[in-house]
Amino acid sequence: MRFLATKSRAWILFFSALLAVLWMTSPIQSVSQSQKQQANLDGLRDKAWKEGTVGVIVNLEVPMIQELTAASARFSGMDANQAITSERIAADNALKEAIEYAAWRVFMELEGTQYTVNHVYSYIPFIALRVSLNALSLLEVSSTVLGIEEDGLTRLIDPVEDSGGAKGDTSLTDGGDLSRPSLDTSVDLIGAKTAWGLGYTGNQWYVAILDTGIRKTHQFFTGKNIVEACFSLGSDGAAGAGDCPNGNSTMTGSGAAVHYSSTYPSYDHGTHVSGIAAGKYGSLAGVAKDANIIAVQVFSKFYGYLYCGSNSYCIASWNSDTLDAMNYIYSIRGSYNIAAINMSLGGGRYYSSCDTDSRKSAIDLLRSAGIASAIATANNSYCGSISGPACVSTSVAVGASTDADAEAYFSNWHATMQKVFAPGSGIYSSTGASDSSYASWNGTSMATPHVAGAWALMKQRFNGSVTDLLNALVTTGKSITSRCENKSLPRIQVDKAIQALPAGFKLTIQSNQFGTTQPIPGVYTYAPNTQVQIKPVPNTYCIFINWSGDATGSSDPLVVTMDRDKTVSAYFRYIYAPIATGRKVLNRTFSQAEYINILSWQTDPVNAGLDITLYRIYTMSGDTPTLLVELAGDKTEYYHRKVGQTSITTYAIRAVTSSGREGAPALVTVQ
Amino acid sequence: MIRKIGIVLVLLLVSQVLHAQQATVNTNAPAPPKENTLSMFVGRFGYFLASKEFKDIYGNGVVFGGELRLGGRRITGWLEGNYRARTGKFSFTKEETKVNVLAIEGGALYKFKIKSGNIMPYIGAGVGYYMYDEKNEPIGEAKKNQIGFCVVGGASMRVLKSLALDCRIKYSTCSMQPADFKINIGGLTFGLGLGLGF
Repeated sequence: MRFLATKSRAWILFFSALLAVLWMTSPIQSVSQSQKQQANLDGLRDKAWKEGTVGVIVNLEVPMIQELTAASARFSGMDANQAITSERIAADNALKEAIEYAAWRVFMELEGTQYTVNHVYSYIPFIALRVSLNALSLLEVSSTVLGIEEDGLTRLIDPVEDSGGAKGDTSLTDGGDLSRPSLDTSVDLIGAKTAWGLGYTGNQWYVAILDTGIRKTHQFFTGKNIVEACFSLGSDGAAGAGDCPNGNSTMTGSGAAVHYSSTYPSYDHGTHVSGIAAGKYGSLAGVAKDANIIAVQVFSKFYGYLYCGSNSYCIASWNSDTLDAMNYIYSIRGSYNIAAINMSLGGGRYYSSCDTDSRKSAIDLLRSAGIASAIATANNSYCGSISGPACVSTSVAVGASTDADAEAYFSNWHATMQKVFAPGSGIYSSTGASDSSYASWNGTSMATPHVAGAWALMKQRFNGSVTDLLNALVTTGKSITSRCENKSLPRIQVDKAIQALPAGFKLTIQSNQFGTTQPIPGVYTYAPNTQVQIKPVPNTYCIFINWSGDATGSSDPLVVTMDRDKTVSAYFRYIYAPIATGRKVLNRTFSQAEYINILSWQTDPVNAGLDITLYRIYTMSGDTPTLLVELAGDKTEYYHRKVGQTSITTYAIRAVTSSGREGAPALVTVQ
Repeated sequence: MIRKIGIVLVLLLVSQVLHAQQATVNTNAPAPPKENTLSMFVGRFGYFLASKEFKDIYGNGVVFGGELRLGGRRITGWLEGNYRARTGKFSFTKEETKVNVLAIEGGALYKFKIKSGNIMPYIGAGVGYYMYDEKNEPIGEAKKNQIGFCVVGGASMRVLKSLALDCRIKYSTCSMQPADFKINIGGLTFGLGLGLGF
């Protein structure tokens, strides 16, 4: 018996070893192991096994994703006109459809397993799912899946309590004579007031605050346009019912970003942050005092010790919700001039860049559209490490400084992942208690909106890339040495940054729906005396007529010298089809005969004023035209002779302008 | 075709019968005045009334021709050539088109004797060879030759010893298809001629 038992064990060992070798050498495993980030797959499997399901964010293999993203991100800033909107939507849809197709392939592969689709992102190649162990196993081997990460929770970066005070040292209502030095001081410290004096107040620009929402009725937001959205899966981390005001996991429109009740700690964090970035009431103002706000509520409500520790209630954001919020901000870039997004949230501890994080894709996408992501490094007093997603190398990671230009003791520090300092100690701003309540809070959460607001001021000056503007902030900032090591980073001085930016002039190029321009319509900034060449590009059947605004005539191309802000509009017209008829007649002698197709037309009255010099008549074979004849512009009739008695011929008659542009065809069938 | 030949033969037969009866009846009658002209050459012109299709394009018009009559007192052989040329317009485009018809016709005439010896009515029938040529710029040329038939009726009136005035009506028919349409290039011709006897 013992021998048999030993023999059985040997066989079991042998087959186990064989299976292990086969498993390790199978092509699928080779690919997945080499290409996917599966460091945490064991943890995910374990969680799925224990809890039944696990939330995951799946990186999809989408063919030509770089090209499609580049084509979409070409459209940055507000659409100049309807034509650009159409082009942008077409480019966006192409990207969206490619991602949706990849997602569909994955869903096909998961058929028969238990999974819930939380998000299919439109512009980044990711989907968020809640999957069973079986579904997770299929994802691991799917050729459409590049990587899988857990849909983790990111905590709000709670303000740091001063000794004896909750959150900060003051929690005040606007009683009139109460001093409000902190925001005044910090705004002045970073040079925002000087920037306002130069005319840069953030007017016409938006700052997006991805936080706990906003008390939009607060006096600090009087007169502002506040765009609202909510992405909140709720504590179950599954789509469907969620924590948005409408009871669902997503909501946009008025009321979407209402913050939670005061039961939840830091429920009004977003209201405070928004006020720092763009609040204005009376003499008190945030950094970009005339900017507008896009308030996005990304936090879900949690209860109990497992999530909230000693607090009964707490809030946290699913990473998939944050991603959806960033995806949303990108989707509305054509409708609003968005300078930056502010994310005063974070979690984890990163000693080096966390560029495998799914949020990097969203940060990069926004960056490619000229939108910066200002993210707090968090308040753990770490030296040499910061939280995520500030750890993403392409974010603008912000640490907190004091009014005395020292690094705040609570601010996490990393010499390269962190980009700048901004004031984050004792910052006085709006709170959610009432429409007139204010409080002074500490934290990198308070430092970050200083940078987001500064971005709006810089964008108003120069609508450059994130790299350009960050470079201006960094090179003009005041150096602050870290408490952790003898290294320093700049504390922003937005007035100096603005002055360091190219003193360019804005060229606004517009066109109507019948054509576009090269460069495409939009707002551009050029150095003084730059000569800009603009080429009108009429759509099919359209003709360029003339320039208006700061240019006249019909030069092609137009050369504009940028000696001031200019607006140039290209005016195009549609060349309408002639109004045409056709008939067949017999033309005979005594013994001979021919059949003639007689085409008659007249210019459509709406073409009045167009210089129609020719008519071209084509015979159509399917959709293929063959030129039959060219006639002078004063002709209104043509005999196509010697046609068959029973022939059926379709003609296309097109007006041609003196510049050679062909108009829309009038299709006439003669039988 | 056979029917038309038959008609011509019947006409010739009828003329021979009439001639025989007259000869019988007049056996004992005084001898008729001698006709001075048994054969003659007739130069003639006429007015041609065409079919509707021809008329729509070319209209009616003048015909020129010459005729040679050879033969006896009652039955005479007859050979004629005539020519007509017209310029017309296309039915729709009104562009110019030209047509030429040359006809060679021949047959027999039967001459009736009446009291007045200076007037001699006649009828006749024959065949013809018709040459049709239509030309124009837009379409080109249509040509065809074809045999047709004709019948004539008229009267000759002697005005001098060897000179006669001849009036007649001729109906001709000739069907052909030189191009797109089947046409009949015949018609009714009112002719006036001056004959020289020999």
